Amino acid sequence: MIRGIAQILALCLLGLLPTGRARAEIINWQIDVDTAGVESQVGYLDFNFSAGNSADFDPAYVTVSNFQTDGSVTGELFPINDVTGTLPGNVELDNLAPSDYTATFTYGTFLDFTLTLSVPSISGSAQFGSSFLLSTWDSHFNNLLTADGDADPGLIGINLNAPTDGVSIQNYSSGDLATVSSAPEPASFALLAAGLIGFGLFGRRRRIPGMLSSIPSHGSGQPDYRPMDWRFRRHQP
Amino acid sequence: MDRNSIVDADFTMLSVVARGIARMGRPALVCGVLVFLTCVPGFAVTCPAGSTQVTSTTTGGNAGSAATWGGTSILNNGDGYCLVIEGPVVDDLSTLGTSGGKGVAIFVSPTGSLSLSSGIAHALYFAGAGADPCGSGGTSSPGADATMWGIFAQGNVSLAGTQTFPVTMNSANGVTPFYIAKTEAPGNPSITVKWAQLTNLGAGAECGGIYPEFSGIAFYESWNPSSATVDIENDNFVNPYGVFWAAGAGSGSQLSLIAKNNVITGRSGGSTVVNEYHLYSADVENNTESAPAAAGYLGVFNGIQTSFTWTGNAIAGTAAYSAGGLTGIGLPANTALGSTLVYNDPAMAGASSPTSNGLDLQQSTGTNAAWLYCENCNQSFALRYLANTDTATLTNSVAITNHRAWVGQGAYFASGGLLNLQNSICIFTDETVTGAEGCVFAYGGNGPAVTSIQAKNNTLYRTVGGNTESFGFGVDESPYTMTNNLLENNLVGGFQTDFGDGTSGTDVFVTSCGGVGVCRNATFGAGVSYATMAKPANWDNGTVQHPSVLYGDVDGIDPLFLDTTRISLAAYDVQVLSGPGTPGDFFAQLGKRAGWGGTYPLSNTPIQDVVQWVKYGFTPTNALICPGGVTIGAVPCAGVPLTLSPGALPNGTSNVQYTQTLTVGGGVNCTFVNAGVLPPGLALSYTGTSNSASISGVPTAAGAYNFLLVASCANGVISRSLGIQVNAIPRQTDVTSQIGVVGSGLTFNRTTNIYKGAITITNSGSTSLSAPLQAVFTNLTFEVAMIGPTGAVPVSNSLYPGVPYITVSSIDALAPGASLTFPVQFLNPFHVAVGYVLRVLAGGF
Repeated sequence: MIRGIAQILALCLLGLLPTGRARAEIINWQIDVDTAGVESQVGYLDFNFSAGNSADFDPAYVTVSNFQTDGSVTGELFPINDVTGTLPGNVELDNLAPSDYTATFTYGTFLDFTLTLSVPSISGSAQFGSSFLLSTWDSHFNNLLTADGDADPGLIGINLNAPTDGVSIQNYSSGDLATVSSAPEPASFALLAAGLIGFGLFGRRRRIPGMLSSIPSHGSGQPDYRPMDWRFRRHQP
Repeated sequence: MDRNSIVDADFTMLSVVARGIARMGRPALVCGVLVFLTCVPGFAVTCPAGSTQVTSTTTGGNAGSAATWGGTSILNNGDGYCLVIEGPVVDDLSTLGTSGGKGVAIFVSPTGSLSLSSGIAHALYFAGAGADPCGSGGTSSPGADATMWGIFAQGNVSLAGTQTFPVTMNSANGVTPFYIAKTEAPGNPSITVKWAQLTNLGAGAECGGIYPEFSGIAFYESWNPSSATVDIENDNFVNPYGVFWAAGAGSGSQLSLIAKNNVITGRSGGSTVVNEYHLYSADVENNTESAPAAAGYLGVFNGIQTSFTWTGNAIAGTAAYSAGGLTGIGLPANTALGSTLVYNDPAMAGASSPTSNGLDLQQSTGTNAAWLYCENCNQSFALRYLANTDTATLTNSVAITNHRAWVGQGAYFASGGLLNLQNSICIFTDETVTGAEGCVFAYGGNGPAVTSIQAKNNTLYRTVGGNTESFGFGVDESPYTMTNNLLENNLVGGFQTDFGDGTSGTDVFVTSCGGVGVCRNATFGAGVSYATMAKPANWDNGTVQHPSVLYGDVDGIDPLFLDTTRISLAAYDVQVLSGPGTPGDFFAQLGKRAGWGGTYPLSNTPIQDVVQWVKYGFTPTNALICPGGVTIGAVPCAGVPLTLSPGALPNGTSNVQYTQTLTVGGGVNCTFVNAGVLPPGLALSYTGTSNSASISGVPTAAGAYNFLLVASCANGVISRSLGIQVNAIPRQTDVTSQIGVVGSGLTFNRTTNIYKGAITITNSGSTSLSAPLQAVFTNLTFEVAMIGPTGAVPVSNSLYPGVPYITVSSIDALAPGASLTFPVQFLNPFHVAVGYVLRVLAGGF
């Protein structure tokens, strides 16, 4: 318990530290997609997140939040590996194994969401980064809104090139129907506050060990500092 | 003939110069007019009315930072502000000024500088909406209350965009100009404007620019910088009044101009590039002007102190608005004007009174012009205003002209001078208009008759016409008497040749060619005549003792006239003279007549052929100066020995791609054969229309292979013994320790279960890694299969038998620090974490 508290405090303080290789990276993007051209079509929204080589990678997770659309989520396919949440609420995927969340979806004129990446460091020593991919599919799993209409590679890709300290964004949309913009990072005090809240939640939820729900939920755009042992939990089947 | 009409067109330029001189004499007026600039050394600023002045800190900063302007935010783009720059300022904004707003006025002090941040496109607006840029000065000059927006530079200004991130400069109201100005105040600004589009800069407005007649880039008079450069490259000037005007470059100034690759359309006045006084140097290359809306030259240069480069510039004019290509006054002696001045005024084709000149060199001595092309011009090339002892030389030029003289007026107003014309071609296309003259029109000045012409090895041809006043050479016509003339070894087709009109003049020719001044010339074509006017006093038709030969009709020539014991006719002259006498034969000899090497294929439109040779054959890169002449394109210099390179071939490796190019230097249309044995798997290939061949393929057997390579070209044969050593493929070596490996994540498609990513390997060692390089995926997660590997490591391999691998590089070695990226795909139906250990091997299996 004492070790866990220390970890939480340490994570809380991270938000006050200047950016450096040692601190965790929290990156937010705002992704906006103009779906007017496929309005009323029925299809799928697909999110996946995966490392490149499980023998050498940095564990990380992404959260889809602030999901907004005038379309409708009508269901979901079975999730692959580590996925929590469902649209239109927050959805979280980690890269311990290839994770995928697919919602059945009736397209409206737009869909927007915030994508939050949390990784110990994108400039770390891990040699194989992680990739997030958003795909907008029709009912036959063909890509919509993309330039070539192929099944691959999807609509928006975000690749973490860990050893080069870089994040590359691939936008495959046709005519910039999709845009990816950087969302502002939370201010330091917000990080601290979030950490302190997390500390309180941790103290309460530690009483239910082993459950995924013990991981503090995180609000839209807010950082999520989990206990350090989150990365070692078992994969869901 | 109307001699004066020949020079009428040039008074436009002269008047420009005269006005510039006049301005030099009224500085007080200038100071009164340009109140916003000081007339004494120092830096004074008078911002435009209605603007808000802010001053940068002495250390400068980013234009977008309020700290740069003493805490004043310039509201994103500085619209309506007068920016006074005292230190280095970088414009980190994408815009300065607002289209439709006031724009910005910028003053750069001698200690300041303005540059643009890289990686973004910039747009600058100079508007002053609603204000009259001329103020009370009317339409000819700015008044004291002028509201001028733009850039006034006494410090460096670098508006350097890139092709990807250009710079746009605009004047929203279409009247207020953009300008960079310099006055008498100290300072040596270097001005750079690259990859910029400048529009609405005051076209047609008399007070466009601080120099009131230019709306491009102008410098005011009486400026004598000790070191300054203006660099204008890759810019697009749309409807400017002019582009560059260095009116103020004084006789001692050190102002250098670089103007390259600019496109100018719709110039509304003046000339495009003008320096009135003494640039230090000028490098003007590959600029193109089209659709000028006012008469003017592409370039007017009056005195250049050190060097002048003019090449590849072109102007396409119209009947009403074109004065010509280049006027050079007092250029440095022996200025090599480069390969090309292309000047074509198509509207002049067939015009009864063309007014434009291609090249007008005045008071410019030495060999100033070479390889010039002018079509539909009044005077293609005018060399004139020579001083008594000066010589102007024109060599290797081509003129396609309609009317008037091609080369002439060797010393019209001056008292003397020598026009030296050699190895050039004139095609005179239309003589149907009365008053048309001919190819070479040389006559003496009004002073002492000491003007001379010496013309050798030229070829003159008339395509149509028959006007009795037209001629090939027009020399020494009264009252413009000449002396010391020499016409030698010229070929004149279709023309009469006029040597004075017999009414006056001494008609003295030099005696360097066998005792007379006209020798070894030949006329060609049916019905032509010579010397319809007076013959030179010592003229003889060559029938008895003089080697002067003018043949009126080749077909009817009396072989006795060919006194080969005394006439050294070149072989090509003999060919022409003995041929059927068609224009085709004539043109077939043009290149040789001009001293060019090679042959020139002809169609049934020989004039167009020649035009093509000249317009597209002469470029700075393919025109070679050969001994005795010039060669075009790939045609080699006559007598130049062929070379074969490389001298030796590199070794190959079995089962590794091998490619080597062989080149015959100086060769044309070469075929290749090899006598002997090439390594198995390699083949020799060539097109037969070039001077190169390739030996390529994948050698299959190690060993030493020797053969004789023979290149048979249109202009010669060369052979060389060569050998290729094919080495056995090296045993693979695990170089993983010398490799840095990084990879992307894997994106996947749940419907196909295919996972895709990329891997980059970097040679982190200090030695090069030889090809082939193989990426071997060991310990691959059991449930995962690699898609599309190059293969599996042979089971005989002791290290990684059966492991899938990808050949990262089959040919090229990986140098230290170099990287290679290759895609990977896995089939992963169970969606497990994909894991593997990557090994990199150098060498084959």
